[in-house]
Amino acid sequence: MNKSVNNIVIVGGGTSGWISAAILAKKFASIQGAPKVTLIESKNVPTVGVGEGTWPTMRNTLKRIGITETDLITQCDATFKQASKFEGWVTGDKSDVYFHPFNSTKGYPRINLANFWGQDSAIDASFSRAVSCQESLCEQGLAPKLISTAEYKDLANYGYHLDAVKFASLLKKHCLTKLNVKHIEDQVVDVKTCIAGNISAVVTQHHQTVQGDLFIDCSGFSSILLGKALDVPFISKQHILFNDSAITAHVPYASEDQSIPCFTRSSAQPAGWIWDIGLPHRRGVGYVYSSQHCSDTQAKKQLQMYIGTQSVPTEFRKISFKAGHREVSWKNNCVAIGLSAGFLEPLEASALMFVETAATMLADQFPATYESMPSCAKRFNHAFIYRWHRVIDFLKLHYVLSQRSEQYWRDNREASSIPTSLQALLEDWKYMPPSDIDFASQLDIFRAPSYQYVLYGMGFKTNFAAAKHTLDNSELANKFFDLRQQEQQKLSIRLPKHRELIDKIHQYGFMEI
Amino acid sequence: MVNSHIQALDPSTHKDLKLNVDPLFTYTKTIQFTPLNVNEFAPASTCYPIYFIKDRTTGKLFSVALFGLEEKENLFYSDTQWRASYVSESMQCWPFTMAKTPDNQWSPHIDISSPLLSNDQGQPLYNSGRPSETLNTTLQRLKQTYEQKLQSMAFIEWLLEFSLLKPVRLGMKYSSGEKSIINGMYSIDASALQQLPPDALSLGHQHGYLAPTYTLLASHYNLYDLIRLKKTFSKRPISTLQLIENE
Repeated sequence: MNKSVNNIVIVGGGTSGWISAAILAKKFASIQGAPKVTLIESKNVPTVGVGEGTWPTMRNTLKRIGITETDLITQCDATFKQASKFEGWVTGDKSDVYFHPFNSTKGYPRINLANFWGQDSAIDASFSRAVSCQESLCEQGLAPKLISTAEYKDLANYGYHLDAVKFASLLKKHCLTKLNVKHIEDQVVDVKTCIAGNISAVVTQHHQTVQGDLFIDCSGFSSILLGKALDVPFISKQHILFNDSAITAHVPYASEDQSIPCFTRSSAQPAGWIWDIGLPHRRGVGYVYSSQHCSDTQAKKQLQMYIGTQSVPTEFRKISFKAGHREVSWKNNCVAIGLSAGFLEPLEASALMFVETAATMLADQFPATYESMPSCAKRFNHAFIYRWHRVIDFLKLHYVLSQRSEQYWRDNREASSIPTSLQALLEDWKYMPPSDIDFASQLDIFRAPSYQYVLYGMGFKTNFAAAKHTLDNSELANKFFDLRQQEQQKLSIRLPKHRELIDKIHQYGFMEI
Repeated sequence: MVNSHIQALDPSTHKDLKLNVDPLFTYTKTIQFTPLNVNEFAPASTCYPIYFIKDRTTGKLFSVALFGLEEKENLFYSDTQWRASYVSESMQCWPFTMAKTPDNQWSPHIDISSPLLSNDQGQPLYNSGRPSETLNTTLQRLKQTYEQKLQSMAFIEWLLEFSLLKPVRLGMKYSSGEKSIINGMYSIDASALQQLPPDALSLGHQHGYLAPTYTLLASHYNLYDLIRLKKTFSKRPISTLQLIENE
């Protein structure tokens, strides 16, 4: 059993497959005798290709694998994303709007400004405006940095919006030309397992047997290795997160120089919500809904109403999915990364972040031998089961705080659909705002500021008056409120418009320093 | 050009202009830097600290001589004489400069807002429509400056290719106790230079890039002179200036 792990075989070539290949190959690039990475992808299997929003974590991931930010922006039609803007999630009224910016609340983690915001009626009534300048930057249509800011550095925190298909091909090109990843273009038709339950090889359509020591399942929803060959059961979360369908479309801009929003617009609908992201030459929109509450025809009509009659959308597509995840992501010598491990829904764009985190953890804690594999798998599974639970809580939070009256929203507030862990947190937060104590694990991906933005953006009431004793440091709080003010003034003057910066990157590129 | 007062030199538009000389270089009074080409590093290094900064419009790096320690400060300007022995090419050419035309070609331009230009006093730019000797001399100089600019750009490309540049931050403490940080400048990374592989080093040597590289590093000792000038002449004297390591 003390066999060393020399060959990694990745099955599937979407964004997940190529990100995993790049992270692993880069990690091993300069190490003598390190494992070799092979990726098998089929031309016949289309990628889902709608993961068009990333987290700020993507900056580190790309830097780590050696792709320049200029290449990302120019080759993947990428733009910057500084926040999500939620419209109509509470009441559906026109004025019902709040932001979840990527910037943490000012001064976090040194100070929890929520307490001070809650107790001082003189401060802006909007939580996100009071504690961060990013809502204002977004509303002004400003970019998060200057052309002279070094690549991947920022003046305001950001992730990206991008064309997922082009992103996968940039990653692929980088893996093949720079990182020495072996590429097999063929369809996997059979999976060979040995007595111990490990996968020994996959067989492709053109009769090639590809042997490997560690297999990474990036085959998408079909989960052909972990789910099918190794029988790891799927744990449905549809009783918590109802959305199971999406209709997507591309929408052209009215003119070439129309401003590009620097945030994801997320607008609540009778049976779900519509995402709206701005790329340089088009918008990407999609209605994600529950088929129990809305027919495909109704959904398409709803999406068309949202788009309006001014622009003619193209490339309508329908996607079906089930919210949930595999019981474990790693079994024996097979790790699932991406949709094959699970998917919840597009809200808060966590899918690519899961891929980055999983591939990075695998690379950083790579099992040298078969002997160490069970221990690696145990840790990996512990981390991801924990993360699935926490992300489910955070996504569900967006629905339970709504006051909308449609059946879909009423069903979402049914106590039986709310995880007990979230119910307990909501009870705690009646008396105290979310703080680091609620998110003590290294593994937590949404932390106190994110919960605060959603809670107070949606009008959740914490009894701040009863928590007066926590205000022991108002001098420091005032300092940070002032700093936030100064930052907004300074950045409003310095930052260029979002489209102006995108154009400049295409013309001049960013510097590495 | 963004500034409408910088115009492409044109014999018909500018036929009546006359040029005056200003030994004080008054136009730099509120300018913190002057652009410097790589051939000027050696003479400039006797007076000024040399750094790289980024062009606001393009984000591209170019080398400059540092005149002041805060925005719009020029410690070398005074109303009696320029406080240094070397004066940069671009300062000597002013109000003439090379700039890009709308069709992206570099050509001689002129700052028509400059007080050095007038219609009645000074050396004429044109004599009956033909460039005067004064103008020809300046144009010749501009042409050489432009060629040096291309050399300088190649030099910076070499530095970038081998990751020899790094951001520099200077922490400044005023005599009043107030503190501030000077950002946005870049310099040679001396330790990266020390570890440069032999083939890169020999390439740099062939192109004549090593001398200006070391000259630039040595020029930073002129910061002592800037501190002295600031202590002597500025309304906000400083007590210390320190390189802040790392980010």
